[in-house]
Amino acid sequence: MRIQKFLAAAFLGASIASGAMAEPTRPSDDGLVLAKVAATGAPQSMELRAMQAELAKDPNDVDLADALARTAIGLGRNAADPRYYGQAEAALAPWWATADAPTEVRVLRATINQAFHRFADATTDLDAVLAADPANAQARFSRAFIRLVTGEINDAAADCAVLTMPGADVVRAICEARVAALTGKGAEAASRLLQAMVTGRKGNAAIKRFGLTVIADIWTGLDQPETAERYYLQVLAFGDADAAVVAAYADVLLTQGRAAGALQLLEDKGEADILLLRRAIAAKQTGDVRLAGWSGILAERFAAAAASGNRVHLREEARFQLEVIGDAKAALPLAAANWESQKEPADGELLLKAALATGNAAAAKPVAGHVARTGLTDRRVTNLLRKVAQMDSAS
Amino acid sequence: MTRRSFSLLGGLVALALASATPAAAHSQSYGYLQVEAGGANTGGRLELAVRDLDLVHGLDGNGDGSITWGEIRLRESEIASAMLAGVAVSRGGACQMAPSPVMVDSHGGETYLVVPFALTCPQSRGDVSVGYDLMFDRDAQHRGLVAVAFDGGSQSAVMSPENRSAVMAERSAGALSNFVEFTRHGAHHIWIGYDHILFLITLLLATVLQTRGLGLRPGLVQATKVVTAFTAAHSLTLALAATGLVSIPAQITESLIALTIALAAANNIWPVISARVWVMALAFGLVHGLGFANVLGELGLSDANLLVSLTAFNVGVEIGQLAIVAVALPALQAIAAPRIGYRAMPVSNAVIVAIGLAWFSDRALGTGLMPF
Repeated sequence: MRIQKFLAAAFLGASIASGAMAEPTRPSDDGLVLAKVAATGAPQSMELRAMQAELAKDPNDVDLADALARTAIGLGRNAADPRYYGQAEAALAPWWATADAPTEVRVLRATINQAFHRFADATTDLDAVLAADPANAQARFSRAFIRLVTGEINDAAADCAVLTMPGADVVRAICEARVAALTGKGAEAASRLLQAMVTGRKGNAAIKRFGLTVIADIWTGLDQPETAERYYLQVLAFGDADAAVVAAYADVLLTQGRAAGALQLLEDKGEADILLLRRAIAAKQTGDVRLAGWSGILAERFAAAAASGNRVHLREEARFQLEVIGDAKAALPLAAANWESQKEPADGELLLKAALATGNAAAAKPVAGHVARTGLTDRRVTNLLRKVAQMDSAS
Repeated sequence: MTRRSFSLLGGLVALALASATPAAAHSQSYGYLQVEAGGANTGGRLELAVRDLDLVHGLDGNGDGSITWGEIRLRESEIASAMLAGVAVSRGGACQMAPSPVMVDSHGGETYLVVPFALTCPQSRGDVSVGYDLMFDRDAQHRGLVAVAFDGGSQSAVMSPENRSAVMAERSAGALSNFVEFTRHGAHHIWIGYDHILFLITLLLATVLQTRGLGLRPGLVQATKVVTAFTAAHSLTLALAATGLVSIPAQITESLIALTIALAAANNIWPVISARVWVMALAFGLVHGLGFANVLGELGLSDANLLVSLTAFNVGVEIGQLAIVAVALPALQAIAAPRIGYRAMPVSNAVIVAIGLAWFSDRALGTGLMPF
């Protein structure tokens, strides 16, 4: 991405050096709150702190590093906060670059790499783990999910199919439901998954939440927001929902034109990019005065990420340009770059919308090619592809 | 802390969920290091997010989940020293970084702690090396965004665990913009240099008095001779001083300049050098050139573009000078032409002598007689 690099350099050079950012001040009020952190007693983050202190004494304690990384990944997932993934990576530093790292480390390394969209690195680790131990369910499941993100639907299905270890039926049902949702069999897959959750291993709340989230996502993809909403509400009822679930539910509300409801949902849910983006979109639709502040924060974050060479934000940035700023021309290259790394229906939808808004039918070709090649069946992607074809023939 | 045990399914779900959720940047951890490496005042500022500092220093003193300014202020020097200890700047050797009181600002909706610092380096020119090692042992995704501003533009680099240092090649201003800049400095200096203007006017007065009633052409020829001589002389000493071949303390040259004004005006009243004003312009011009060199030295010159800067500065001085001549010469001729104007000339010159002497006493003896 030459343009991105150029923009990044321009940002760094112009913005940082010229001090275009807010001028620093020295506060006068001792009570001024500068940051919110987990209060003493917040169990998981205190546990993480304690483990970090312990690990600092012996950075080569692989078991401790492993446990620390898992805790950090869990916190990072919940808050959609990359800092925790960065802390997990730091804990694994002694093994980060070693080819023959312990299996557990390799699986965690893959998870972290995937979170930062380093899919090839993640796959290398998982391939190696599975080559040595084909029954490693964690590695199998993780690889299936990576393949779903990168659009290798058939390969993902192959991984799901061999998740046959005892006690894993619900997990396999989740895996297969996600594959089915991409091949036009979402409705059946959703009810099959629900069935598996009822008859399957009981009592694991985490799996139940996960299953319900997958079902909600499937109905979203089927363009049935009312049904999707029912399941999202069930997930939220567990409390302390993951930011990604909140964001997905907010999207359902936004597609239904319920921006005020989305704003209400997102209130006090944290400052993650994915949440801030939905807030800004909702604020734009409702004419909320907080739009300028939120959109300013997002713009600053995207610029800093681009300057540092981070490409994780591309999906959000493209959507920000398209739906908040209203600059389809700026959105299109971002959506196209995002499509190069991620190929979920939402990514295709984004690129198609940008192509439509700019009247650039050629930009939609990669998505059409992918659909033809993989058999991806997604209602919204199909509808948008039809519109692009109409636009193309009309011109 | 013992290792947490994970059931197969618990671990599976935790990781799979993590996989299903792109990290999507809450906001990544950044540090900002800005260094001002151009001009005479070098310094900069280092910024880290309060949240990141909390990870290292445990800033929430009362454990209520809110980090307040008070909690930071109490440990200000400890935190600032630790931050500065994580970065290094060198230019011809290690630079000293002297912190000022910390401040706050915000990036991407997060509060950052700012440590401004003054920078003292062994050299004031050349490439700047930067080392950055903050947060990496705690957060492998932390990135240090470093920018070094030179006269001719800034250089930037991204620091990561794999890349903790960078050399920023000095960006000197481009040849053309450098030339234009120094030309401007030269012209500007003449315009704000009342002593040079007054000296020039005094010289012009001498030619006006000499060629009064002889017509336009002799007046112009005389003025050209004088200005050319002045230019040749001050160009020579400016070059000698700028290259360091001649070095005379500023107080001496500035005092002498004041004296040249008084002497030139006195010569207009009691002509000692009547026919050859240009000889006086040549001799005194040598002194004025040393004065220009003081200004040029303050602007900062690098060896690489010394010749270009010097030439440009001179061109600027000449442009300013010609502009003054273009206005002053006809005006002086007009004033001196009528009898009454001519009669007033000794008085005008006496005033100039007085000004020159007052400047001289200010500069040589520090009497503070003059407002400028």
